[in-house]
Amino acid sequence: MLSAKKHNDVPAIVISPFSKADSFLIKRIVVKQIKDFFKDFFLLHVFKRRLTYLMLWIGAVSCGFNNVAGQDTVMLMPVNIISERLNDNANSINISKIDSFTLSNKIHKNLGDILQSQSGIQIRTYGYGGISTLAMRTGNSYQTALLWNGFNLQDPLNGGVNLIALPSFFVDKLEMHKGGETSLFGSGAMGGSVFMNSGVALNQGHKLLVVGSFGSFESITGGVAFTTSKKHWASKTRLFYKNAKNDFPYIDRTSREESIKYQRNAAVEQLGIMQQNTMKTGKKSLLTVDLWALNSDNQVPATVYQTSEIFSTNLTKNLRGALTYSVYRNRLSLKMRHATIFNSLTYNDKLADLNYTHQSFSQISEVESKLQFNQNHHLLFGINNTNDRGISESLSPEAKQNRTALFLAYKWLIKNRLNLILNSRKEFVKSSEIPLTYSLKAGYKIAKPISLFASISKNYRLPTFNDLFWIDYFSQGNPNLKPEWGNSQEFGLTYSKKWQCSALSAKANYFQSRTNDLIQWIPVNNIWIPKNIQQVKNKGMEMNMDYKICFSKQHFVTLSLDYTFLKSVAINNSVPSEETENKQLIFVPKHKGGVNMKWFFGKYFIAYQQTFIDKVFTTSDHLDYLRGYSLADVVVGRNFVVNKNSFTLSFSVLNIWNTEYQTMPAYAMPGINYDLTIKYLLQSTKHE
Amino acid sequence: MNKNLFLLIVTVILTLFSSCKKESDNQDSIQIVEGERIAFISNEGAFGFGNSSLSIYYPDSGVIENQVFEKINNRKPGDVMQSVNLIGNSLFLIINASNKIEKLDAKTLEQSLTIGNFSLPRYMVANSENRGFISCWGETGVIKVLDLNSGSIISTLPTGNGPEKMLIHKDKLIVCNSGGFANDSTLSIFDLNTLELDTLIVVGDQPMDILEFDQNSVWVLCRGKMVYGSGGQLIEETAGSIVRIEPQTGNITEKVMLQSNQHPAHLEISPDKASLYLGGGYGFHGVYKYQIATQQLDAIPLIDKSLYGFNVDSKTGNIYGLEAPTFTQAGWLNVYSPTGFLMNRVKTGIGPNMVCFKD
Repeated sequence: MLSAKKHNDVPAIVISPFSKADSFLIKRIVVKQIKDFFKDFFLLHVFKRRLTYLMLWIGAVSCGFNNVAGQDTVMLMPVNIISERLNDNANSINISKIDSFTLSNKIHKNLGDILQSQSGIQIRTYGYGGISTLAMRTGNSYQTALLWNGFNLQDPLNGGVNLIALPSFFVDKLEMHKGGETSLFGSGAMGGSVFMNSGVALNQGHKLLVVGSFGSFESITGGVAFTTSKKHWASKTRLFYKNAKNDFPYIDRTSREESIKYQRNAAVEQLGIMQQNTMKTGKKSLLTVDLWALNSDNQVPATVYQTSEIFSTNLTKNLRGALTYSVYRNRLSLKMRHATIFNSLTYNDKLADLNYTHQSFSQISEVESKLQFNQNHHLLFGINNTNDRGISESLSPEAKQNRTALFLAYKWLIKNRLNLILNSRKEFVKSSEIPLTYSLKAGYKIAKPISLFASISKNYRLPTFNDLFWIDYFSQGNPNLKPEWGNSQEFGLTYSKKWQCSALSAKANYFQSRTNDLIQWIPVNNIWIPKNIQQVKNKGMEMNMDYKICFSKQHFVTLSLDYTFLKSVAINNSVPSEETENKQLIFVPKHKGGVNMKWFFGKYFIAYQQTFIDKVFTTSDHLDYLRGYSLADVVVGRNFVVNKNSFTLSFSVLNIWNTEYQTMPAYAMPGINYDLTIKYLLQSTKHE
Repeated sequence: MNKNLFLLIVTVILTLFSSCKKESDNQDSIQIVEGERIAFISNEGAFGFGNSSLSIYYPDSGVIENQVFEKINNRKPGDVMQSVNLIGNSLFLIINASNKIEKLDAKTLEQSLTIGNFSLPRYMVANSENRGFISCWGETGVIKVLDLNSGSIISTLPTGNGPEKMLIHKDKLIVCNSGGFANDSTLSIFDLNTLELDTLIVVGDQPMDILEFDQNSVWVLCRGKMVYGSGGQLIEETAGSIVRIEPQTGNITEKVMLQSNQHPAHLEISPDKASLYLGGGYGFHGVYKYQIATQQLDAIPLIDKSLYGFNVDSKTGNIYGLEAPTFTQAGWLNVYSPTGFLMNRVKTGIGPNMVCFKD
C-alpha cells in the first residue's frame, strides 16, 4: 500500500487505571463462550464427522502449548515494502505471527532467542553465543528459508542463516509460514519460511528510540533508532551494539566428581547499522532504499568435554542493500527490486593455527506485477534473476550460479466463502533441471467462525555451493547433484470468534510430505562425497489456540497454547540397516509445545512463557539422545507515558526454573539468568 | 467458576509441563570377564558431539560390549577418542578434541585419573610404566612427556608438523611427523636418556605409522602428499611409500613406492614378521599385503573394504578391520583371518578407529 498508516516503533502498553473485574460476570462470559463455541459446531450437521476430529483436538490442545500472536496491545509498524506476495497467496492457517509485545520485549535479543519458543521450529545452538540455525517441519536448516523484505538470506555456501547475526532490533515484523507452500519464493523453502521485515513509513513525524539492556554474564546491548518521516520522504537509521562475555556457570558432568565449571570462550561483540529510506517519487509511486551492515565477532564456545583453553573465533560480516521501486495504477501495481548481499565468515583457531575465510556474494533482481481484475480475481506474476558466487579456499573457482525464475499466482474468491490460490514457479539454471513447483490452496468458510483449509504443493532445494564445489583432503563436492524435491499435502480448520469482551481463535492442521533426492554426505572409499540418496517422510499435526479476555479496556489477559507433533523418518538411507529404518531423524523432536500468558493491568504487564521440547536423537540408530526439556521465562514491566513519549522498564527472568539442558550435544546452556531493559521513545507530532 | 479459575487452569497446565519426569541414563551394569583376552576398541564418535566410547571385544568368544566406559564410570569419556593404549595395568584413552587423557584400571575399567591441558593429543607410547610420550598436533607439534602415575607433564619436546604414531626403539623415541594440518616428511628421533632431539631424518611425504621390524630397523608408512590450491583444485600429489630404515644410522635400506593416487594411513605387521599390511584411513580402499622376503606388494587387496582403521592381533595374526560407515550411527568390527577371510562381524560404537589387545 502506498498510503502511510499509523504506527509505533515501540509497542506501547495501553495505560489506564486498574479496574476490578466482576467475578460473576467473568463466569458468565466464559460459560457463554464455551456454549457458543460448541453451538457453532453442532449447528453444522453437514460437518458432524469432522466434529469428531475437532473434539479430539480440543481435548488434545489442553496438553500442548506455545506462543501466539497477541492481536491485542499495539500494532507493529506497517511497512510499505512488505511483500504482498507473501500474505496474499498463503493460507492463513500456516501463518504464525510473532506478536508485537514479544518482539518489543526481546528487542535486545537475536532472532534465535525469539524463535526458540515457537512451536514447529527447531533452533540449534552450538553453545550460548555460538552459531544458531533454524529448521521448520524438517531436520535441516537449509530447507527453511529466511527472507528479509522478500529477499532470501540463506547463504549460497551452506544454505544456512546464522540467527545470532540477526538482531531483532532490525526487525519490525516477523512471521513464520509453515510447510512448502512458499514455493513462490524458490529454492530452500521446503520446510517453511521465516519472513522478517523492516522499513519506514511516510508521514509519521520524528522519532527517537533508545534501548539499553543489561543482563547476566556481563551482557550489554544498546540500540538507537532515529526516524524522520515526512509526507514525501522518510528515513530511519538504527545503530545496534552488543557485548557479552557469556561466561556462565554450569554443572560439569564430564568428570568423575560433578562440579561447577564456567563456560569459557563464548564472548560476542556485535556492531550493526541499518539505514532505510522511503521516497514518494510520484502520486502513485514509491522508492525505498535499504542498507544493512553488521560485524559480529564471536568466540566459538568450548564443549563441556574441553579441558584446555581454546581460542577459536568466528568473525561474521554481512552487508545487504536493497532498492525497490513501486508503482500503483488503479488495479495494477508494479514492483522492481534489486538486492546485493555479501556474507563473510572467517574462522580462526589459534591452537591449531587455522584460518579460513568463506565468502558469498549474491545479486537478486526481480520485477513483479499484480493485477486485480475485480474484487474476486487477482493475478500476480514476475521474473527473478539471482546471481550467486562463492569465494573460499575450499571451493573451486566454478562456485558461481545464475538462475532465472518465472513465477505466477492466481487468487480467486468465490462468493466470499471459497478462495482458491494457485502459486507456481519455474526456475532455470545451467546444468540442472529444476522441476516446476506449485502450490494449490483452498479455503472454505463453512460458517462465520469456522473455515476449512487444504493445500498441496511441490517444492525443491538446489544443492549448496559446498555440496557442489567443496574440495579438501577428506571431502569433495559433487557437481552432478540434482535438486532435492518434494510433495506435501495438508488440511486443517480454524475457528475464530469474538465476544463483547473476549476472543477465541483456534486452528489445527494435519500435514504430510515426502522429500526425495535428499543430499547426504557419505564416505566413498573413505572420501566424503554428497549424493542424492535419502528419502524422508514427514507427517504431523499443529494445533494452536489463542484466547483473550478483557476485564476492562486496559485490563486484559491473553493465553496461547501451541503444540506440534512431527514424525520425520528416513525411508532410504545411505547406509541401509534395521537400526535406522523408520526411525525419527536426528535432532527432530517429536513433540514441541508451549504456553504463553500475558497479563496487562494498567501501566503494568507480566508475561509468562513456557516451552516444552521433546528429546532428540543424536545418532540415526537412536543409540544416543539429548533429553527433552522445558524452559520458562517471565517478564514484568511498567510503562510510563508523558504526552507522546514513552518510557518502558522491564525485567526478565530467563530459564526461571533453572533447567539444565542442551540444544546440541556437549554444549552447555545457561541456567537462570536475568536482564533489565530500558526503552525510551521520543516522538513529535506527525507531519501533514 | 470465578476469575481465578482461568489462572488455575493455566497453573495446572504449567505444572504438568514443568513436572515432566526426567529420563534416567542408561545404567546397564557390565561385568568384565576375567581371564579372557580382551581387545579394547576406541570409538571416535562424531566431532563436537562428545559421543566417543570404549568397546571391549572378547576374541575367544566373539562377544562385544559397547560403551563400557560410560556404563562403569557413569559418564561419557569425551569428544573424539583418538586412541587406546595399554601400559602395564592401566589403560590410557587419548581424547583428542577434549585435549585430555583418561587413565583407567585395565581390569575394572574404573577411571583413576584425568589428565588435561594437552593440545590435540593423538597417540601414546611408553618406555616404562612410569613415563609416557603423547604426540600432540597443537603448539605447532610437540611430544608431551608424562609421569604416568601423577599425571604431571615432565617435559615438552618440539617436533615437526603433526606428530602422529611413535615407536620406542632401544633408547630412542621415533616420531612420525605426519604434517598434521600442513606437510612434513621427517622422523624426529629423541634420545630417551637426555630427552634431546638426536636426529631428524627425511623419509617421505607425510609419515603416518611406524613399527619395529628387528633390532636394527623399523618400517615407516608415508602417506604421500596432496596439496590443494586456493581454488580447491589438487595442485600437487606425491606417491605414498613404505620405507625400511635403520634409526641408528638414518640409512634407508628399502623403499616401496605406492601408486601416486593411493594414500593409506595405517601399517601393521604379521606376528611372524613376514608380511606388512597397509591400508585404512580417509581416501583409501582396502588392505594390501606386502611380502617382506620377496619384496612383493599384492595388486589385489587382501581385504576389499574401506576401513577407517585396522590392527593385527599379534597372538593370532587375525586382522581387526574397523568400519565407520557414517558418524551418526554405530560402526563395525570385522575380524579377518590372516588370509582375509571374514570370521566375525560385530557392531561397535560410532567411528571405531583402533584396537589394543590385552592378554
